[in-house]
Amino acid sequence: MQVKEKANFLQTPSQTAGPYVHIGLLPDAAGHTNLLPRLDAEVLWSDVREGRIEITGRISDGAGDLVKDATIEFWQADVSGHYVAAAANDMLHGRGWGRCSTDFQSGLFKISTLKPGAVVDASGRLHAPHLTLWIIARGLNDGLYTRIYFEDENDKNVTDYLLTQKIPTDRKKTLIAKTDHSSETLHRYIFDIVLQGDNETVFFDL
Amino acid sequence: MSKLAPKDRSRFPPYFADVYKSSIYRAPKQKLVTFDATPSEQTGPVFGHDELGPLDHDLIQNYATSGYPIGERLLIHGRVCDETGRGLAGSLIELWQANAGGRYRHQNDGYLAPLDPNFGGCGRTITDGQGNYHFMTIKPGPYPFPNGGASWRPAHIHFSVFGATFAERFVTQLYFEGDPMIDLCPIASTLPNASACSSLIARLDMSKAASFDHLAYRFDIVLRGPCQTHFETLGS
Repeated sequence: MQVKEKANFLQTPSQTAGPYVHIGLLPDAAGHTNLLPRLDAEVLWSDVREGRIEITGRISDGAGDLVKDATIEFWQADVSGHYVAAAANDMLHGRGWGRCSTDFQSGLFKISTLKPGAVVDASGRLHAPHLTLWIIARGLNDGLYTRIYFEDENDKNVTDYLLTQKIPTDRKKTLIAKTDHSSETLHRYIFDIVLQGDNETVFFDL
Repeated sequence: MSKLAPKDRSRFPPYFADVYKSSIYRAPKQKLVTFDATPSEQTGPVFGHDELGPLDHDLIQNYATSGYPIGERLLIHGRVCDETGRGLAGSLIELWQANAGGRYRHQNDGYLAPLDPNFGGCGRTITDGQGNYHFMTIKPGPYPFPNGGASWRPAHIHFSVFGATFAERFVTQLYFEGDPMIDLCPIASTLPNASACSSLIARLDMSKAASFDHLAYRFDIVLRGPCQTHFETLGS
């Protein structure tokens, strides 16, 4: 008997998405008609009224300038805290995945979805309601991961595995969306992202 | 849910690479936080073949109105697999590219090369049961970009790839074998070594070229995949 190392295929490295990423991922945002229709639902679970939330924010860089050419993808659990890994057409209400870009003029992005439920992992650890974000843009040589938690879920945030075990205390606030009380009918949150510098958002190396 | 194989950072470009000016103020300065993947990263969206249109993978035809786009006709094909070589079925691949003159169909691209009325530059497909994919397109042109001095991008196609988990999400770029501009490119130069750069260069594949129709290039994509034991016991 002999022990032999398996054929080893080397990982393909990333390159920046560049400034024209919209053509491929959010064709309607590229400013031209007749490209392919977007694959994500602009509003997730749009037929559900209960639990609707809207998250808006901006991304800024180390010079304090707004990043107006970024694309954000998010992945989240459903309202009961389950990740639904099935094709959109196989599900009643769609999947917990979406995309948005920062506006070319204002720099604002907007996520319209349902607030996810808390997730319990295989080890029994609790994860407070959150969205996982993946950010790509010109100047980012690889995507950046982060999470959005919610200010009004503090009772769960204080027991969250990541927030309590992995995130430096003075940086936790960079992961928590603030409640925006400007609307009485919709739960709005503000989540600004800082790529570099003071108050830099916590990013993950997964 | 199985544990993910670790990301091989020795093959990935660093976030901060001052040869590529746009990274200077956009790269995080703080150390990234590491943790073992949780359900949020070990799961990911699934896409069905029925979500795509019949010409989504064919950039020669999917924007054509008055004729075919100008440029070298190409078949781009390859396989998506993990580190052990196991093909990944159902992987959504999206791509975007400039036209043969080096111009993108994007409102923010003001390069003086003209748009091609028959080329959109947007395509997508889903890998088959063995992880194979293919696109039809035309070869994009090189173009200059603002990076100080005379900085040019070699001909390239942007790829966006979904793995089986959200933690494997990534974007990269395909370059073409034999292009002398790859070594001059500030963005390709962010790659840490020649092996990493070489893995982004599609190889001319005459076995898949079609006479009087198109050339072919092969571009394989290797994702992390699930954690594997790298040893197996074989009979002697």
